[in-house]
Amino acid sequence: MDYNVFTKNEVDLLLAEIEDLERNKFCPGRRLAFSPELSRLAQGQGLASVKKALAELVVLDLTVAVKLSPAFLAKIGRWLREEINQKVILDIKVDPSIIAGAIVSYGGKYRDLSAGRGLEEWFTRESTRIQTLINEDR
Amino acid sequence: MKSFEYYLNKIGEIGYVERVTKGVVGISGLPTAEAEEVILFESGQTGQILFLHSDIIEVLLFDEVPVKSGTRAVRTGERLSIPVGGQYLGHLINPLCQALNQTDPIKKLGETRFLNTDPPRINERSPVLKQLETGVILVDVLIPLGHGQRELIIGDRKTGKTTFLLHTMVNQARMGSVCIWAVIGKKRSEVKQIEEFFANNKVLDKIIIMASSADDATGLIYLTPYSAVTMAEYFRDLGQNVLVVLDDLTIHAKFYRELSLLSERFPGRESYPVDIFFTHAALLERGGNFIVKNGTASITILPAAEVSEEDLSGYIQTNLMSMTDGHLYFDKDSFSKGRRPAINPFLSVTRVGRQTQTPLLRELSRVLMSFLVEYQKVSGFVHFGAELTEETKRTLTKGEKTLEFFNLNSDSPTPVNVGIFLLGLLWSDYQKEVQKETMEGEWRETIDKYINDKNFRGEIDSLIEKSKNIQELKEKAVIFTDRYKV
Repeated sequence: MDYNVFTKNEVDLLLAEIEDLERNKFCPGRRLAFSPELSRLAQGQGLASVKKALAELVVLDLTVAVKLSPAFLAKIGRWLREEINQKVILDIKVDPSIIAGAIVSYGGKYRDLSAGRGLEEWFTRESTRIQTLINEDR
Repeated sequence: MKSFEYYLNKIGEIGYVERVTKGVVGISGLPTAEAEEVILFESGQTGQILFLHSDIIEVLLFDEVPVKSGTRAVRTGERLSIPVGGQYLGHLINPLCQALNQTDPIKKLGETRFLNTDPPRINERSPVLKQLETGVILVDVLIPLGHGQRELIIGDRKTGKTTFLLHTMVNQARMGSVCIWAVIGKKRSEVKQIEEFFANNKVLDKIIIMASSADDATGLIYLTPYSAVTMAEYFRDLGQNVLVVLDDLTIHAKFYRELSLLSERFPGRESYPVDIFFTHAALLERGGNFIVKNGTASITILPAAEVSEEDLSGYIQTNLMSMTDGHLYFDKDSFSKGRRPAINPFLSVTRVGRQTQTPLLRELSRVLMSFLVEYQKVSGFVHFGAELTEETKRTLTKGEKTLEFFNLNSDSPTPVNVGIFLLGLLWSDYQKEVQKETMEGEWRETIDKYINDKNFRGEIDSLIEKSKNIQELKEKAVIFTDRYKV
């Protein structure tokens, strides 16, 4: 199945839409409206298969400092699918305190690749030198 | 323990709380987590890995405050350990060794020890050869216990199990043993009463009360006996004899059952998990008499167990009976007849205690036991209103006096030697004409004199030491009483 969805938010929206459709499919006089993405995915197979396939997707948590544009997200998403796993989606969180870089967690593994962490390590490493510098100035 | 971020960056693994039940939390993630590892939650709570499933990790929570779904969790790479040391003597602490009395702070930590360790192997053990005096003559003579023995204290509710254990602990604390009382999931008021009892007897400074109350986190209640034994092992390694009371293991089993059912483990008999036998056996196996640097040191464990309506065939009760070195059965009938302690000597067992007795005491125990069987048989006939022979009447009177003697020390411990002396005197028929009520006063006087008069104590001790059999004991006791006119 070729997914054009890259984030957990998008998957959650699709799943909510499928649930809504399933709930209303037997309501008399009610027209079922599919979003373009769902109608594309559901072509040639039932909603149940789409739902099952969406539930099997694995999440990669990505914490970044600024909000990313949809185009950039899609770029990262495609790269992940090509290089790492066909079934991966992104769960994006924004935390300005990490300054730059990103925190990645996938399948229980966690890596803090942010500038905030680097800065903290740098400060711990260099604190003695900073202290010496201040003392010299006195 | 360090911060959440420290462990997150150091170990580089993260988990998310998926489901929360009372005391047990299910976590996804943490791919290389290990059994019994300590888990730290983002919200500050700690827990220990209880079971590892393929998709989820069950964590035992040690905090009353529940964790929310979605909370992040990290591995610490450490197994659960508690601080141990002499600084806890005289304190009321929880199973994680935190003071329960806010007004009574404990000096900062020393050594820490892992909570779950393998029991010492056979080559590290030594035979149980030294008698553990309980201060209760019935037990010390008829069903003796040894240092390093694991004796189950079993009986219905309100039959005096706790009172017996309290007296034993006071006696042992006075004799120099380190004592640890583990209260497992009981009411806070009961914990307070136990503390007050020890304080009133001025032995609190030799006792550690490790308590978890019924409203504590289930995880904490589950840990209580393990923490108590871990603490005992510290004192054992210092060469000290330790007495541990686990009050009680039937409650512990119930809490473990709750945890296992919440973790969706397959239930076994009476819904207990299939490893309940192992859980208790591995704990009690940590007791015994051990070879240490300067000789031997013992951990005597007295676990309590409650039965319902005198039914000794319960699952947990029979498990415990089979993993201990005997049991003292507290009988409801004996209790209602006014016997204190209400121990049924015929249904009680001691497997290693007899080897700690002197030949004299062993003989006395044998004679007394067969006499009590006869007395019980004879007293059964009396109910039919049969005409009694002189011999039968004598047996009845002697039996009543013997039982009265065993009832004597319900409020304070009786040293074993003065007990042997008085039994010798009772057996000699020296006071056969004296009424039961008068004898009671005389016995008390003798016991008080033994405790307070050093010379008197010395003479009785040497009399007991020199007596090779009951006949000699009886003769010497009569001569001694004639001389002293006690």
